[in-house]
Amino acid sequence: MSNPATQIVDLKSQASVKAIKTLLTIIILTSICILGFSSRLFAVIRFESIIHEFDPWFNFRATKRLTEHGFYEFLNWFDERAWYPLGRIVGGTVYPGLMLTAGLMHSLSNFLGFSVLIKDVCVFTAPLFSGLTALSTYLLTKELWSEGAGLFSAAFISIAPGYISRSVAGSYDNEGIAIFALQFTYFLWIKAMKSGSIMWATFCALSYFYMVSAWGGYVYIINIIPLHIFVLILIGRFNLRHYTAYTTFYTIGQLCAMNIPFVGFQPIRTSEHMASFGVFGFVQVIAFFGYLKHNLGQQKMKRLFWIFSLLVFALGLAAIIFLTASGIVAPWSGRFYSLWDTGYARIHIPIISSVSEHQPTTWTSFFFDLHVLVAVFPAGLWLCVQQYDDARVFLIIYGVFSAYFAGVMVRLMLTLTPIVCILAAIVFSELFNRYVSSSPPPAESEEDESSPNPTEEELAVANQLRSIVCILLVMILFMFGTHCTWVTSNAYSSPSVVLSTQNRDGSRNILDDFREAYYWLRTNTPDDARVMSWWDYGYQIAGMADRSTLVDNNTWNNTHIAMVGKAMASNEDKAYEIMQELNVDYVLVIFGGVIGYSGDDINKFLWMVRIAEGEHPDEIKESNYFTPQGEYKVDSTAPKTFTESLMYKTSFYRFGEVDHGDINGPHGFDRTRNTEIGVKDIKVRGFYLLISHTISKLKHIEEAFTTENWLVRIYKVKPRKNSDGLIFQNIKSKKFKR
Amino acid sequence: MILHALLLGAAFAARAKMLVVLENDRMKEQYSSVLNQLNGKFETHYKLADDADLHLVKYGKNIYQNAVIMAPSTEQFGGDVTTKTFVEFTQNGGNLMVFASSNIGDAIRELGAEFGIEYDETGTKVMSHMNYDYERDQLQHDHSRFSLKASDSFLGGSEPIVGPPGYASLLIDNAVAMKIDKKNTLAFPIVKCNSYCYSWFPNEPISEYPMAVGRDISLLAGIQLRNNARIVFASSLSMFSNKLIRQKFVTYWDNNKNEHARYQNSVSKLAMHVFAWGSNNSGTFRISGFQHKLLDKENSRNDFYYINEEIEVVAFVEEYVDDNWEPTSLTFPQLWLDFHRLDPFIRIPFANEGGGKFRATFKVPDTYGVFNFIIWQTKLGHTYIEHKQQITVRPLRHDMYERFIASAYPYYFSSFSMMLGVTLMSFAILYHRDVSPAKKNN
Repeated sequence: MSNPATQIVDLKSQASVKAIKTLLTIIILTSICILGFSSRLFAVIRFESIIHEFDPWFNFRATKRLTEHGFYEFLNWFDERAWYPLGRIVGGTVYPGLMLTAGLMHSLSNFLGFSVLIKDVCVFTAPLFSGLTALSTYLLTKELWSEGAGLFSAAFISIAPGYISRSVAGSYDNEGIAIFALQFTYFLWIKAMKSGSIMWATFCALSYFYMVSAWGGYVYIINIIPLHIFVLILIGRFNLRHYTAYTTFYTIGQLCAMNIPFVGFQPIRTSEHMASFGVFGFVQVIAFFGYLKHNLGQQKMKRLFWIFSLLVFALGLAAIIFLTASGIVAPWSGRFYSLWDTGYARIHIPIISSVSEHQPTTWTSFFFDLHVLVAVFPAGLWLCVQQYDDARVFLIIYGVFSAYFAGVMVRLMLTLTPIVCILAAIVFSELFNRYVSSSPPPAESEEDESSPNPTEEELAVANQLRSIVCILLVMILFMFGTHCTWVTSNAYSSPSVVLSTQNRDGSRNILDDFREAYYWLRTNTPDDARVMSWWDYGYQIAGMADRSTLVDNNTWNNTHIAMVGKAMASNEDKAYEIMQELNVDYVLVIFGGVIGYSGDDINKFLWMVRIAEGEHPDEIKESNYFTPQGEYKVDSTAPKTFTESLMYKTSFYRFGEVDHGDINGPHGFDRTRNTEIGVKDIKVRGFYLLISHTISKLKHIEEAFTTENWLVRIYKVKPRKNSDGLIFQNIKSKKFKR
Repeated sequence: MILHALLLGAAFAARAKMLVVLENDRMKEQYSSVLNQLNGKFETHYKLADDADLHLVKYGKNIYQNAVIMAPSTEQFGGDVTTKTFVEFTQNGGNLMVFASSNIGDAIRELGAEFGIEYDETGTKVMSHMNYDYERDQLQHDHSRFSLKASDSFLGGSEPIVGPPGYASLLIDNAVAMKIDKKNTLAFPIVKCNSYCYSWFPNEPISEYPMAVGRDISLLAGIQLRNNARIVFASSLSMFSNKLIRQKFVTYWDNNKNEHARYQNSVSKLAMHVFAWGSNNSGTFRISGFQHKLLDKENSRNDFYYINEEIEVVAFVEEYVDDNWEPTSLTFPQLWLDFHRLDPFIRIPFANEGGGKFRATFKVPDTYGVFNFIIWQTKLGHTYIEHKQQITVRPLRHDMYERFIASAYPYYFSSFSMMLGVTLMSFAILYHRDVSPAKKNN
């Protein structure tokens, strides 16, 4: 080393190594982005470029509105087609970040001369952002651990099914861009708290603003960051850099957040935001005492400081509790209660627990969504605890909390995925660091100074062991990759608007019933026709059929939903009264009995009953819809209340005539529930009369349209009969009365 | 819609087509005074009840606008006419007048049952021992021809049906008792018996409680379906015959004075008005126009409104008079407007400005949503007046709120003073040199 010439060569080689490293990093990151993008294209390749599922249809409709009418029309958009007759102020009840992002990308590409359909922009928004997510995860992990771990985490997040589930092409939903915003905000936060720079804190606040505009999950950030600060205070590592970063972030971030109309005054009025506000006040007190202590230099100050700060903390807490109790600060919303008490929603707000993604997570879905990552996640957490510093405390908090929330709701698996990717990446990076390099790790040699130097033989064994470990690790990663692709292709790439079945010879059969029905509605019904369906299909009807709906996936009005649930659960006469009151023209139900589609309305029906019972307990009773044995069945044991209900009638209307090509098999065999239905309509006299149990006919509605595979059935509500109110005398019995 | 069809029919054919079904050809002579009135007003077609060529509806369309069935004893109609045909005929908007008698046959009985009218057994008659026709009863002692004092037999206040007051008494003859089910909300009695009447086989001992007595017995009943098709059921045919309708006075025994007295017979007047009502020539209205707009003179927007805007609603109502639609007069009873979203938010009367123009102004409620203008008026004897129009009430745009609020000035002041303070403080901190710069290093 003393030779200057070798030194120069060394430096040169160091520089070239660095350059190669940078080049490699860039190449790796680019290919990760391409990988992430392309592995989300299964749905587009298999089906077509189409918007998926339910919420994305609303987002797409809103984006279309934005691009067609401009920003201010979007902001003031009053949607009279939703929630008839209440309407919905879309501009004020939506997180506009997604629409604005897609709208911006659309106008930018058109400005540059690429004329792209807004639909295609929307379809590919989530895959595009998955690349950005990978980059910001890389940055975050690099900032917290090492570059190698960063690359690993970027690779993981780009293919982890937990994130892919919400970001495949066509899944045009808030989460698609929000995870990027989340990761990027965290990266900037770490940058800011490490450097104590106002600039980074401001960037962090701006990124937070983008997150607020994109997804309601921003509440997660505004609770985790104060918690980070609070923990730092508790372990005594709080300093002025943190103070600068937090106060700057908090003030600018919250001021920005309040400019989103949907958020409005929530940051100062709701309990969800009170923790951050409390920490903000607490930090001021601590900084003030720090200043006093610094200036006065008295040891006594320390005690005074603790007493006083605890006092302020207690007072602040008491004030918040008082304000909440007196109604000035809104209490925790139901969705948040259900995060603490998983049974809460089931009892109090059936509408929340009726959504499948709000159910508690099963352990299989952890493995399904994260595969090996979830197994090494605790190890990563342990590494962070072992080698903790100010910033890594954040990882610990982030990991622990996400793991808890993901266990409460399937949906929150999404927020767990990034941190699991980061921690798993740390583990893998450490493992490879340890086992790939041929030289024994320095840390180990220092510890084992007393032991004699390893012999040649020992070294050879160690090398072989190392390679075995490496091969095993690589194999695990291979399996992880295979699993991810398999899950993506099989579980998360179905648009659910278009279904497909596989024939025996492997060819695919496309079931396009939904679009068939919506297209029928669009072309065959008057423009102001009102369609009653369960709320799941509200967005799709509005988006594809362009007709008014009573309730939709923005489940803001429980009473209204309960009204629809009551109509579906009541008999035809009562339902007709409700439908007349709500000016319903068409009734749409999803029926899977012909093809065995399990997500149909009969299977959702109990939720309709429960929600209706919540609002009308004296008219609708859940127990009336069960058999005496307490089972929910559609066969001949089904109780009369159930078979008379509008839902049963509309689902099984004329279904008794259907035979499934099997001569000996029964007519009207429901393939979803694998039973023969109990009540069969009499449309054809004769044979059917013999096998049917009860006569059921439609009185106030008539079948208007049923799709090819009976998946969607549409009924027209008949106008009141001209002779309604006349009592028909049965003269046969009266004639010979005397 | 059906009204419009009627209207078009009237415009092209000038006179509405009416089918008169008779029992035999002699009836044309016996009932000529009533039938001649109809001949003048309608294009009448006469058919016998058992005519094999009897049709009311062809290919789902009505052949006639009105049908008068003067064949009480029919057991079965000829042609393709059954009870269901009559139902279809009225569902299509046709008006129907049915005459029964004490020799009522199954066809008419079933027809009545279809519309919720119950007849007593064949052979029974409505009888009264108080005001029976003295002269006739000397010959045929069954008390089945009697007079009803107008004052205790009419359903009050529906001028479109029975015309202006001025009835003396009605001569009822050979009537079969008719009962209207209480739950039958569309049917109503036009003429009821007084409390002395009862229904039984004449000259037979009463062995059990009669089917109907007193005021339960309807002699003339009306029904107006929801499509404004009108149906009249009469329980006696012979009271409209030339012989009885021309009989100006009825002799009866006056208990108070203990002598024979005479009452005037007003059946011909009743026939005239009931035929007019039953053929939709009286009490027939429609809304011919409906407009709404902002009250603001400069802005005539009417495709949607913002909350709290003042708007003006104008409705035009026409009445069918002498085969023509004419603007209603000032005497038209009050018309009401609902502004409705699940519940009526506004319910106000229109001001009748003459010439059939009705005008109302109001302030849109402070609630956004999809509202409906609803006019829905049901009045006995009138057609249903119905109109519904959907309108959206939007919340204010972001730039429609007040820009500067007086009560917010303290906040404006505080924010500006804050900005100033920050600027001054930054200057102070930036250009102030501390005595010991070491202190800054924390």
